[in-house]
Amino acid sequence: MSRGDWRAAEEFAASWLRDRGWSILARNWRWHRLELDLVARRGSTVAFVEVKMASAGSRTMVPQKLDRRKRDHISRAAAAFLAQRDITADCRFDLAEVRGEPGSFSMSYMPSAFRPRGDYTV
Amino acid sequence: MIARTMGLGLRGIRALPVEVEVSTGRGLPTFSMVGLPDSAVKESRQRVSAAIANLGYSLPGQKITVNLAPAYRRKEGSGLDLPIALCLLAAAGTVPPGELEGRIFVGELSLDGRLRPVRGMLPMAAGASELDHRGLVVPAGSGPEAALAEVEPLLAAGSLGEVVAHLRGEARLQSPDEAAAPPETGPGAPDMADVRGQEQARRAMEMAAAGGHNVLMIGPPGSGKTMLARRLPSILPPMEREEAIETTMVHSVAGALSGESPLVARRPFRSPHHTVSDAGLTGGGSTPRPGEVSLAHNGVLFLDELPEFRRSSLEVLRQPMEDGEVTIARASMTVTYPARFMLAAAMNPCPCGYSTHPGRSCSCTYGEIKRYMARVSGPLLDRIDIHAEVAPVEYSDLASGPECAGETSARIRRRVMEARRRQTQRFAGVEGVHCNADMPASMTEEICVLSPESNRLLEQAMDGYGLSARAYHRILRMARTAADLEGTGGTAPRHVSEAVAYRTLDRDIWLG
Repeated sequence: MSRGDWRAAEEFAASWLRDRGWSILARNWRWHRLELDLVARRGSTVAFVEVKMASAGSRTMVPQKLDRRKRDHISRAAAAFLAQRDITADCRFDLAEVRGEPGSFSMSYMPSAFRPRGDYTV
Repeated sequence: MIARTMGLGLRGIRALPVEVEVSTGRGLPTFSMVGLPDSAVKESRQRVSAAIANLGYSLPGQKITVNLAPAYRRKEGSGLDLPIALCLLAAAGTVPPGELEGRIFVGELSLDGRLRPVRGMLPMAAGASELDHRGLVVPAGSGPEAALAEVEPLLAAGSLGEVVAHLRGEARLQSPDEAAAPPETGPGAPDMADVRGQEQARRAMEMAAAGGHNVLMIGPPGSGKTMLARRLPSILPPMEREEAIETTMVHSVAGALSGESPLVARRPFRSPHHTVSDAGLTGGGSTPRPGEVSLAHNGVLFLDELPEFRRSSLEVLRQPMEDGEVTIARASMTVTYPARFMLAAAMNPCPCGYSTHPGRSCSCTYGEIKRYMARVSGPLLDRIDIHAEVAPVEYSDLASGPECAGETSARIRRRVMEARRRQTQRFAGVEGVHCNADMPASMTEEICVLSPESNRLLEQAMDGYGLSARAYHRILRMARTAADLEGTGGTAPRHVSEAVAYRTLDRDIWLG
């Protein structure tokens, strides 16, 4: 799977969200080592979306793809993002799993895939 | 958004009212719990989340903070699941928050939202009855136990969903029925009539029951010491309701109640093995639980093979025997459990057990016997009034038919209760003295006045056997009990001589 495929998958997830009334606040946001794939907003809710590529044959269930370290990493990045942009909102952490090849993507989307373990201060 | 309600925790056998507050707000959707929760309470997050999800409701997608007040007391147990879940649902708008205020909720949640019974329900409900509230909601499985506390209004629910429906006014919860007392005697209940022969030992049991005296039985293996001890509760006066409630509370906190009959209506009989740890005996653990002395509250604590118990175990018995309660201090909390029990102990006369047996020879050396006896001497022995010798059962007693069965427990109990009634009259208004065994030395001399004849007999016995001043007071007390059993006012020489007979160990017959 190439880097281009991954870019395309992310774009696919972003447009999927836009179709459902979300506006994209950030894509591939980075700050030091922290990283967020997609940040979207609809009304007072901000969703931090982790985009995962899955090969066509993979049968792994979606939430298991995120281990505790990865969850902590995303939570910490989200806290940093909110602090930097000075946003107060209801937050949730979503998971988008994209399958297939560019041009024939399909996606399973899991809203509120996990809750952060603790409060992360930046 | 803030929602709050009341829950209950435990502190010894007292309820600890806990105010549960849930605040939701903007921010990362964390779920944190503050207010010194122990691990069972911390895990409640998982149960509550799952139960709410499985009911088809959702947790508020916001930052959630659960506060358990007062914050300085450690909260234990799983009974706070229900109030936490309801506060969360109120914060999410599923339950009207006003409905939670002024109500008290207790219950452990299972993942599918059913409510499980909780440990310590009775003391919690009793605590709730002292609080100002407009309803206590408990798990259906704990309903009969909670009803014993006569708390009004009391409602029982089978699941979180039922509680939610009730609070939304869609359905009504029912009040549970009070637990019925199990029958006092039933088939299989030990009865003194089962004991063949052993007239002397039976009499010693009756004396012990009548005066509340602690008793030590000494006899060869198989002579029926354990059998006699097991029947001791059946000749003690039946428990008053208040006593039964107190004992039930201890058993409830220990999680030792049976599901069908949550009321402990029979005097408990506890017989810990001699390898029991000190904490197992007195209670302990990082969050303290009652030990054997407290589980035997208002009943009988039986220590079989007394010399085999560790010295430290016997030492820790002293304070509860003196005070009728035991205080356990641990890092997390200090609690006091009641521990007013009658001690019954049994031992062999020597390591092999046959030194007093008429038909078998003892294989122990003088030194062995001396060491064996030394293990029980000392402070604990000082607190045991009656040393009863139990002789091996005669063949003729064993082989006799049921028509030769001994007196039934019910008949003995009648005499015991009569003797106890006399004592209650005598000690009316005296703090801390309920029966002859409780009398302090000064009071003993005042109450147990001997006739010149009895006095002379006692003097002879004291000189002849070399009895101590301590033994003197014990003999006076027991003579009083013997007289109470007979219903006579003064203590006659026959009462004194019976009492002297119960000081076997003072007489050093084995070490002569």
